[in-house]
Amino acid sequence: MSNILLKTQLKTIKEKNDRLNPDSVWVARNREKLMSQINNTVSEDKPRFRFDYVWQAINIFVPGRLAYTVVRPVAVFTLVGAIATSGWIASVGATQNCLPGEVCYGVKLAAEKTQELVTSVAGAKNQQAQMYLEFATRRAKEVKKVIENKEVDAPQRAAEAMGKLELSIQTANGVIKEVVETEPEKIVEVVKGMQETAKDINQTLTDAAEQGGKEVDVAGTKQIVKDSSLDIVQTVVQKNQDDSGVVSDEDAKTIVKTQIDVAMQDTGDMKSKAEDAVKVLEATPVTSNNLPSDVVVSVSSTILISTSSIQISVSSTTPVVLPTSTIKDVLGDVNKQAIAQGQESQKTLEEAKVLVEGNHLLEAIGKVKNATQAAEQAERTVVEVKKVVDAVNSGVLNSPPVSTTTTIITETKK
Amino acid sequence: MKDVMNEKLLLYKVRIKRDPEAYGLLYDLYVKKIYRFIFFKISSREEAEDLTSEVFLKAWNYLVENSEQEIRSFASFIYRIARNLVVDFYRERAKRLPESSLDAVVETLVVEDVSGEHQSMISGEVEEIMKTLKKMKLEYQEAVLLHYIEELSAGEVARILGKSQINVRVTLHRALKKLKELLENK
Repeated sequence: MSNILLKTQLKTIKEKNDRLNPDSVWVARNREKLMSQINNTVSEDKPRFRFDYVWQAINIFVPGRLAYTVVRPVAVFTLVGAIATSGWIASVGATQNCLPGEVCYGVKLAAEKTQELVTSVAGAKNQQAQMYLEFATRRAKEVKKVIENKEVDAPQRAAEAMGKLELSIQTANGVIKEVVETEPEKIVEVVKGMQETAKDINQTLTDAAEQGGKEVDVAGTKQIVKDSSLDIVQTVVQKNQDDSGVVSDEDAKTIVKTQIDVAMQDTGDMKSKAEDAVKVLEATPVTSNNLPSDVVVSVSSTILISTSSIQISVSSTTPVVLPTSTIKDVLGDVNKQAIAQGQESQKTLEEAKVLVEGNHLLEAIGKVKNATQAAEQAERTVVEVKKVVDAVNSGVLNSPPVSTTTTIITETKK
Repeated sequence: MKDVMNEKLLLYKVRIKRDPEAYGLLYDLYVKKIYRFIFFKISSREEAEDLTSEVFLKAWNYLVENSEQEIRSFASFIYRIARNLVVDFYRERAKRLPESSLDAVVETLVVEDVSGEHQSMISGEVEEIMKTLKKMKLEYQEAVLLHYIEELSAGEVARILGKSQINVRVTLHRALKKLKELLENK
């Protein structure tokens, strides 16, 4: 007997030999009995969902060996990865509202560092630039929130955020300059994004300062943001002059015009503040202030268009009386000079516009720089004057000890 | 492939949804096979019927109470239950017949000849094969029954018998050779 024949016979035994098979009546009866028994054991409560049910469901459609050797390890790996990632995303997401000085702020910065690392490895330069601009915007919002919260250490916290903002802006500046060389086709889009971001940041910082952040000096940071923006615009314009195939004349013009509009807006805002300050000062009642000994109120306003220098010095070992009218006169003069500076800056910006139309873009940028710097310094003056006016109005100068020296303006401009 | 998927789907419904109807369909698929497997080992229709009923009831209870336990194949699962119940059956018999050891009883029962009325129903070559098969080692009998008669794969047989697939293939080879030898020597 051959093996094949034997195998065939074995295979057919169950059909050929009825005795080996159960009685069909018994099969049916037993089924009925079994159904009745198991129906009694089924509870009304539905079983709870468990994750391994998902696996069992997958197992229906995937061949057994493949399921256990390939699909399962892959599924486990994917699941672990997903849980780890979602955990990280959830943690990072929860830290988005953290502010400097809070414990979770470190996690937020760590997440940004990770993003920085990933983008530096996998992202293009233009994406990196956008990322740093995004970080800078976040820092500006943090400054505003910190000041709004009015915590005792708000100035320190705001200063921390501003330091980081400046760093992000400077890094973005460096990366954007690389974009000019490596991805010139993207530079116009990146610069436009940067101008928009700089505008937003300046607005946010201005709002923050107005929220009562007397002790927070946002002016320095604003200046860095503006300078950075101008620097990039100048780089792009220079590129246009060197090779108009990389940056078109039209794009270069648009970018410079935007910069002029931003500067015009800032100058206008500064002028309005100075005008408001003059009104407030004029409304301040004339009284006498009993100043403590060794108090020096020093106002040096040589930065303005005129080279006048106004200084009030009180230096005595005994208390002296300083009429408020004297302070009002000095501060009013400073404010008025700030307004004049604003008008002068606006005039310079108008000249810049004309230069743009004549395609003298680099000269126009030079004008914008001068006007911006002058307006910025005038704005600082207005802010400082406002502080003194507030102090006079609130009677702080009457309450010794005041600071031994109150310096309103120390910078000079040639 | 379709049958396998259908079987897995039914098993899923039983385990996750505790669906009696799905279990009824699994019963329809396996009742004859399990009955044959048991009957071949104990050669008593009534006892084979009782044990078969018990197998299905026990399997249901296990499936719904241990839904977290992994069951890769319903076939190997139900055959294992049947096999264990047959062992329990012989163990009980051994207790009732204390003079005989379990192994002896098992051997006696499995080698029990097909006699009386049943014998008349079997004829020719099939009868010869059945008789010869029952004279072989229990290990060979199970392997031949599951693989060649019930047409289970070597992998499933390995899972039922708790052996490796290679071991099962070797056993099958030797069992077939032995069966052939015994049949030729008659």
